[in-house]
Amino acid sequence: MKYIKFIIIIVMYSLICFQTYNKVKVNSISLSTKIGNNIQKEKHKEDIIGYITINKIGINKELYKIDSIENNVDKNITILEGSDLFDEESAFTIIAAHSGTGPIAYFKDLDKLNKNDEIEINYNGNNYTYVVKDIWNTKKTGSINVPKQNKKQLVLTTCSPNKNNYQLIINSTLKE
Amino acid sequence: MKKIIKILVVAIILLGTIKSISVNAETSNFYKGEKISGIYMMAYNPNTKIGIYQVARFIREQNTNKIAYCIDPYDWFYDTSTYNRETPNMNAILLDRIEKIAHYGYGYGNHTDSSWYAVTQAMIWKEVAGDENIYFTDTLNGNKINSYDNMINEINTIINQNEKTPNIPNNIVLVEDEEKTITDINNVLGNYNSTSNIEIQGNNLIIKGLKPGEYNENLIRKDNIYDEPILFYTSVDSQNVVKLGNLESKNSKLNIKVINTEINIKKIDLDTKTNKPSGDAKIEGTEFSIVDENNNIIKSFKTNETGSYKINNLPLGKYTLIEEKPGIGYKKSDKTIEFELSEENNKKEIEFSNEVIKKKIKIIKTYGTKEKQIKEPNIEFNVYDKNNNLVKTIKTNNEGEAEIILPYGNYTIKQLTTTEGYEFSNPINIKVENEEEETYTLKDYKINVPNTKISLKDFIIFLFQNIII
Repeated sequence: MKYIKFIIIIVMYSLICFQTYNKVKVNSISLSTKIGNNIQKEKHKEDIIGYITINKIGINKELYKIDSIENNVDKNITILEGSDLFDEESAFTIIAAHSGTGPIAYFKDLDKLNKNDEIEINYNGNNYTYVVKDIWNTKKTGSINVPKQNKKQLVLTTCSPNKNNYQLIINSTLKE
Repeated sequence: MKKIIKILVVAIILLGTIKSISVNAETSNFYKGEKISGIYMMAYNPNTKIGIYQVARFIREQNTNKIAYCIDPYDWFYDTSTYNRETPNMNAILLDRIEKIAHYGYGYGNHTDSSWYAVTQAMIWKEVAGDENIYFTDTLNGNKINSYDNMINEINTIINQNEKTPNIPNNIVLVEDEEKTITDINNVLGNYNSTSNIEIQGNNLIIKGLKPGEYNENLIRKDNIYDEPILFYTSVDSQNVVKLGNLESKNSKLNIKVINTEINIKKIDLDTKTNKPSGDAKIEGTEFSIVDENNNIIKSFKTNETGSYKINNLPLGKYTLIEEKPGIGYKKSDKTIEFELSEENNKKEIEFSNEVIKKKIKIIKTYGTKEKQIKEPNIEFNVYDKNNNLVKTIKTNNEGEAEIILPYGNYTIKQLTTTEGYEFSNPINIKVENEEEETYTLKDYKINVPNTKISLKDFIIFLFQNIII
């Protein structure tokens, strides 16, 4: 009973917030942006090392140093630990982000990618274009297994939006 | 009396018959012609020790004025004598020698000066009486001179030269339509005429354009300086003579055999031992040359789609087959094949093998974290050719390694099995164009990933945390 009450309060509060968002636009800044700005106050801009752009699904997001506090799936698109940086020879880089709902579900549309779609990385002033080669889902175990290619490789992963308890893996290699 | 008359009548009849037989043989008369001024001759008889000296002069036939020579140096010559055409009682070798001296002496080639007549006459007498007993003198009954020795030598040289017959093989074998030129090293072929299937140009015998079969040909000596042959005449009361004319024709026989030859060259693959190529290599288009013993290129050609080539009617002889350029995907071979075409072995089958270009492909399979990769044994891979036909299945050993040697061509290697929990590697496309070994290291990375699912509940909590905070 207490739990239900708690949920109702939260939902009501959320609805109020959304209404406020729709009705009030203060100086052309939306409420979500305002909320984003509050978060941005905490961002370490000096930790930005590049950007990831996936035009097909409307992603254009900064990338942070691997050891940055901002490099966290609960905050941003994240380069996983152990990844090679993009300018290394035969670099193997894994990027993860949330799927699902909300402003941090950056990879919510990742399942819309197909083979031969392109992913752009801007790093250290250089552009790297990757082409999707393989897409598959694997059961969630806390780890994924990806065959290493003999070329620069970029793996995007998130929880599968369509298959419960599965991990979606997008495997791409540098465009030749 | 009657008996005596009968005997006389019979005798007269008999004599008449004999006389009439004598009258039927060809007869002629000869006379002493013009003297040759300044040339003196001596004919010394060692038996009688008498030397007959004279001014050289021509002997000619009455009515025709044709040249003749005396052949009895110690007998007199009478203009009024009657001569019968008859071979004198001399050995055949001597008669042959006299004929040749007469023919190649005065009147032959540039032997037109009268002195050649005197030299020819002296040479004939020398043959009959001995070289030392017949000689020229400086004056009538004068001292012996050697002024005409060069002319004597020249006539002898010509005689010796014409003793020779053409140095041409009696039996010649060639192939259909072959043009063959044979040079006479005796240098007398130009004195001969040929029959229809062969041609003489200078000292060369030329045979061409003949079809398979046997041909019997003749080389007929040309000797038509005069309008009649050399003839001997004898007389009972005068020196025998020889009248100038043509020598007896000498023929050489020639047997020509024309055959066909055939060479079949077959290119085979060293591994398949047939004309079926390994991998995507091609036996078609292999370039060859055939050279003769002098390294002259006789023929250049390319093999057809079955890897073969046929050559018809290559002339008889020794040859070498050389590969100039292999078919696509094959290594060039430096070997050569020598062969010989002969009348007995006129068909040849020659196989020429080439080794295909091969490459060793090695796969190293590992799995594990990025920091620690483990060798992955017992992983199977299928190797497919360009038409997706399975070539072979290979499996990694305890070292995680598998290898295969592939011939020239395009292939795809696909992982067939994997360690549980690990993904299959992407197919590997292989192009075998050279023999450099290639190694493909296939790694599987195990990567820890965070939970990236955000549910509605999570979102609400997130909102609460971010807005409240």
